[in-house]
Amino acid sequence: MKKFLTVLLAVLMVLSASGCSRNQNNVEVANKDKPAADKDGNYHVALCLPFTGTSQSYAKYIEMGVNIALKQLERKGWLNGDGTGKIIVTPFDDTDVATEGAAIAEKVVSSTDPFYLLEIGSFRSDVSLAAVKTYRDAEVPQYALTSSHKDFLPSSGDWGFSLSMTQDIAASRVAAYDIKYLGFKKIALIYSNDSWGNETKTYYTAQAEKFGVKLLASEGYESGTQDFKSILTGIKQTEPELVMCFCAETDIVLIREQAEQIGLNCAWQVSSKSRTPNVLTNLTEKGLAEGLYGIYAQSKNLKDPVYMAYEEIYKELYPQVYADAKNTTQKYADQGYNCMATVIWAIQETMKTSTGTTRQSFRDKLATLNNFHSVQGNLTFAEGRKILQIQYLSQIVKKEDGSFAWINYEDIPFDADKECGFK
Amino acid sequence: MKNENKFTEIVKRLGVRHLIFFVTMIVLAIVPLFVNSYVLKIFQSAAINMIFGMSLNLLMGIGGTVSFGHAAFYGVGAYTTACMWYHFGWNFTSAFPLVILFSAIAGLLLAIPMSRVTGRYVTIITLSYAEILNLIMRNWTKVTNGVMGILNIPNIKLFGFELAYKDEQYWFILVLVVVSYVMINWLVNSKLGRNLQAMRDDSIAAEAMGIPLFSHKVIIFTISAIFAGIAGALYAHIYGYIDYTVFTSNLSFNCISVVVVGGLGNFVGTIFGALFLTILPEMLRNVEFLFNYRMIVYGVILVLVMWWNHSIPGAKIKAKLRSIFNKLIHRNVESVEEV
Amino acid sequence: MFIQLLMNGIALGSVYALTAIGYSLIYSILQLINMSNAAVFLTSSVVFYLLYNSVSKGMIFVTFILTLAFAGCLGYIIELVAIRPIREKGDGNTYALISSIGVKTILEKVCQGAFGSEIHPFPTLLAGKNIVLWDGTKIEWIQIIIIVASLLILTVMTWYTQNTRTGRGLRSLSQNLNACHLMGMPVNRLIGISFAVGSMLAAVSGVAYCMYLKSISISVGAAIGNKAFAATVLGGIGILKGSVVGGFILAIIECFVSGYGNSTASQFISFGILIVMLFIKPTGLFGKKEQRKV
Repeated sequence: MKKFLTVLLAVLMVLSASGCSRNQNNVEVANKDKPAADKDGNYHVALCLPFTGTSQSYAKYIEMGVNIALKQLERKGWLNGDGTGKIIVTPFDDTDVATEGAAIAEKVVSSTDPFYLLEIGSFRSDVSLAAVKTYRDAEVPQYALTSSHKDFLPSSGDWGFSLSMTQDIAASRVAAYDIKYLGFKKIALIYSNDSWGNETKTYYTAQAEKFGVKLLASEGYESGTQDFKSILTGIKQTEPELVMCFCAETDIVLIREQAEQIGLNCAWQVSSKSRTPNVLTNLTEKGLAEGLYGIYAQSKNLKDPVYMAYEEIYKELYPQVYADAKNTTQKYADQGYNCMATVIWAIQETMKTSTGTTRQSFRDKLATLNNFHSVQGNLTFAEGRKILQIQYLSQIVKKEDGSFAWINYEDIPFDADKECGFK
Repeated sequence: MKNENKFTEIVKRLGVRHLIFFVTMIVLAIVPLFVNSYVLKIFQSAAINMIFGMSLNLLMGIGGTVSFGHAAFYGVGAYTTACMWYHFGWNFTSAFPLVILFSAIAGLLLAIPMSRVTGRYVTIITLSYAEILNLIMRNWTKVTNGVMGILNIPNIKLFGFELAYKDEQYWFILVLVVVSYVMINWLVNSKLGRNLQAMRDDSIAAEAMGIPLFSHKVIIFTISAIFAGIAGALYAHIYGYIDYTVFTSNLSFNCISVVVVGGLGNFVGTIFGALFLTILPEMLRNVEFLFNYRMIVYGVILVLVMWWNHSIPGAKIKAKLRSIFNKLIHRNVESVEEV
Repeated sequence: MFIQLLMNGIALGSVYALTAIGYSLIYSILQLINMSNAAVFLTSSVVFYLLYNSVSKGMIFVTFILTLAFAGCLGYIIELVAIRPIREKGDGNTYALISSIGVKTILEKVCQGAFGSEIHPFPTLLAGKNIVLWDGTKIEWIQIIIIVASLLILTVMTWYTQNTRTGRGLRSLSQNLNACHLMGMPVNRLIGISFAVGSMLAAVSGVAYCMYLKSISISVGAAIGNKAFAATVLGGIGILKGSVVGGFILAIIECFVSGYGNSTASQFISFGILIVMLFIKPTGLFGKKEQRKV
């Protein structure tokens, strides 16, 4: 025992001795005011997404959108117009695991060569949240474009950004559309039992109760569930008119198909997360597409010049993906493009100022985003960097040539915000 | 000459393993002086994994029970300290006794059904137990905040002194590693530990010798769970955010890998196993052409380590290498003598 | 509703049962939980899908045979590369287990890389044809095919282990490996075969499950592995009949609980039942009390 204590004491002494000499290991505060460009005038962006694992298709689409925005910039001669001032994106794979996201965050904030201006990602809120503390303390902008967790923006200090609405507004609007506009009174709910699904459920249910509608059933399922038949059989017993699904796009295909098998006939609706071309293609192949409601955040004007320029490059770079999705762009690619476009905008704006582009000036500029012309309508960061978006009711309809397509009901005389009391 | 004697004497008295351990600890302790915060973070999580790994090694190597649900105890520890902060604002020091208490209870609860079954059913019981605890973490929203997780867990506070910097946290974890190591070693060499090893080698003979199997099994599970819980509590404070997705069977498998790579019953090995398996995936992250295949490489290395350490071809190669090495050393020794 | 849930349970149960036999077979011989089995489940489904859409366009049976051959080879190779060298040294099963976890990681990641994470439609037999029962419950033909096929395979497996030379060899292996070795039996080959058969069973259940879902995505085998293993233990490890009954019981309970209650409760119940069962009768439903010799 004595020998242990001796050595223990020695170790402690070493520790305390080295403790006195602690210095430059911690991230310097001044990093936020350093010019972000490297010696060649290039800017570095870290892209942290689940490139492998069960969410990899989302990562792929977001990366595609980012690449398209960069391609567009390249054709304009990068930031300075003369081929200098590139934006270099470094991808990191977080495999959809929170600890990986945190490790990547450490890597990004401690890296001096390259010096990252900001980080984009991750896909899931949990992974972004695990990294929030690191980015906030190191004062690096964290652009978690798909994070809709209500705690994300508040806990990120000043440094978090997101292109997705928080569910207190988004899910409430969905409820308003369903109950007040479509007039459904008998509604059942299926949600994936994760942070996103749970939040949507909570706000949807609360809003429905405000309208005096009690949900017939509210069924959560664990991720990885493939067999929904028993849940659906239970829901069938309650005889709903509408089943609202807050699910991932792979699940919605299974749910819709299995509901058909057990004979659950009613109207179906998906949230904006699953209002994607993939759902359309898969359900069309199974003959179940028609009439499916969806919610679409922002409007996509196909005749808009910004959109057409984007689509042009999309077709050129990813013809296969474009064709597979029945000649439409993927929703998450649109978001990735918007994200990168706003980043480019903020860099260009700050380059004009006297301070130049630093993490601080970049953040300040990005926070003032107002009516930015994106491929999904105009983007504005309101109070607390909350994104303002309009949500439209959307539906799969059969066109004259027999094919199916998502259409957005943009001009219906219905104000969801007014019904929910947001105005 | 005199010094040399003294040195060999220390080695003899301390044992080579312990010496290696303490030298490693000293080397690890000066790591923060040379590295940036990213590398330090990796070392932090490696150090947490050391405690976690040692706790499982106690169960596997000494108790002879493979637990596939060790992540559950880790999670209980993490959630205890996080919930105490979340609901009552307690800091690490005041929650620490509760961490020990609750992880001990979690271990105890598992030990009771375990008492009825023999070796082959242990796997499934531990696996199911961990699944159930994970489901509780996920669905007991009032306490654990459910799927939303607990956010912004503050830094470790020791009696009012906040460990705000990474190197302070790291040293604190290292101190806990040393304490755990010393305590576990003491336990292994105590009467209890020797009884446990007898049980591991032959439970019937041990019972015949008058060792109470049930109570010993319960004790070993409880102690192991306590150390795992401590590791989990450290995790919660170091990362600042926990949710149920962390404490799944994948974590248990990783922990088993740490133990097995290091060697069953070899606690110094666990230290190196934890270092190796925590640093390796991060090093692979920097290899560009492996970008999409990082975890595949991880799997391959796992198989290779097993193959190298525990297979006949691997053993043959190792024996060959060892004999070459010995020859080299002998030659050196001879040459020295000639001089 | 009752009948609907029962049918769901039986169809799911046959998938569990098929995978469970694979576990049981290897467990009874080596006392090893073959973690790679769930990955083989996924890999074979992916291979089936890829073959169906490229090599053997549209021919389900040809594809099926090819997939089975692939799974058999895969199982044998897994044993040869990852298990055998470790087993021969006589080290504990823990090491072989870690090795199989390594194999599982590799297979899963390869599948993810090759397949992506999107969902794809899976070919099925007699698509869209239903039997409508008296109370309006619809039962699909594929459900019935799966149930019949799994019962058929069980019968064949039972016959195989009882009456053929190899089968008897496997059974004697599960009683005493060392004695078999001393008796001059080709132990390595037999264990290799048991892995191949286990993998083929996983392949059958994987393909059957995807046909039942009519879709395939990479998360398809995620939940099945643990459930199948639980079913094995519930029925009594190493007893084919027990694995099957365990699989059906587990699946039916799960379906009823998530139908009448909710799906979270069903997860609790399936694992809870297992622990309670092991507490009451550790050897499983069909297990015989084992006497350990000193």
